[in-house]
Amino acid sequence: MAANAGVRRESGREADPAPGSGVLVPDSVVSTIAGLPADQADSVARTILRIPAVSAQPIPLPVPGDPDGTTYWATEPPDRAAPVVLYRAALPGEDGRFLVVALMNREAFLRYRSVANEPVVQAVAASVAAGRVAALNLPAPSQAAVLHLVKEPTAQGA
Amino acid sequence: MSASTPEQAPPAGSQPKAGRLESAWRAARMLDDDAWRKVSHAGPLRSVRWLAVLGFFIGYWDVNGTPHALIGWMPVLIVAVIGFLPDTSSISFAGATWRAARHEADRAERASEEAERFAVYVVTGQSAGEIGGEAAQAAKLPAAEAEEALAQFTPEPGS
Repeated sequence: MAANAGVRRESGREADPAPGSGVLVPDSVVSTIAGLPADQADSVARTILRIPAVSAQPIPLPVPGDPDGTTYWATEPPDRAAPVVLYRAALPGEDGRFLVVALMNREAFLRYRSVANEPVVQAVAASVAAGRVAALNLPAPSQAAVLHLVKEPTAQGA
Repeated sequence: MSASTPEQAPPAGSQPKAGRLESAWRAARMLDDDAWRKVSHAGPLRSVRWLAVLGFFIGYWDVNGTPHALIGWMPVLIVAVIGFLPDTSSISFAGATWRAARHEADRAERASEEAERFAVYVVTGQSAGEIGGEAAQAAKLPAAEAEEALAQFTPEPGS
């Protein structure tokens, strides 16, 4: 995939509100930014504040539960050590205009970008994403059952 | 046609003859050496070999004309065999098969490259999947306006 393939620049669109307005950032992303060195955090924050008037490229990202055709965009902050910002347009029913969904290690991003169209990569990614979401969404009885299984050997040994 | 394995030693003989045979044997063994394999299979050298064989054939024909007996083609045949041998992976004749060691080495190398590529795919897919899972969760988490949430990371100059 060429480095600039699919890059878009939305600056200059008259109908767009000011960059950064309507861009929502979840707590998880804010926490990740807080853990970065100050210069990287600054670079990432300023990049997010320029969405959508920022150079970005579409990236295939398998996200469980997304409607078909959902496009994710990746934009690289000027600081080469800073992680890449992934975002998408707000889905129907969501607040705001754009949602920053994650930060991705730049090295991992570059590697992924070069092989993202490989079916094996997408299959593994979809499977891992689905498994991760399923694990996080375990209903309470299942969590209790897991805890019970974990504690059981200790109880027997006592 | 028969061929000996590289491990077999050349037959012993008189000293000068044995020396020449040993040199020839070592040269023949080089054909299966990994380094030689890589050099001889490189595009330019392969083309040079093939063109050299063709050139020799045309030159021989031009100088000697069409030989009246099959034996007359022997020099061309020998040069052709020497020129094409590095590209030969196996020779079968009368039920006997000689398979070049480089054939197996090529297969092993290709398999290794495939395995390495597959490992990269899996690792890359895994990291992308984790990001995908994170993205799915992000949509469900409380989110704040970027200007408000990120103000702490973008201090004004001089502040």
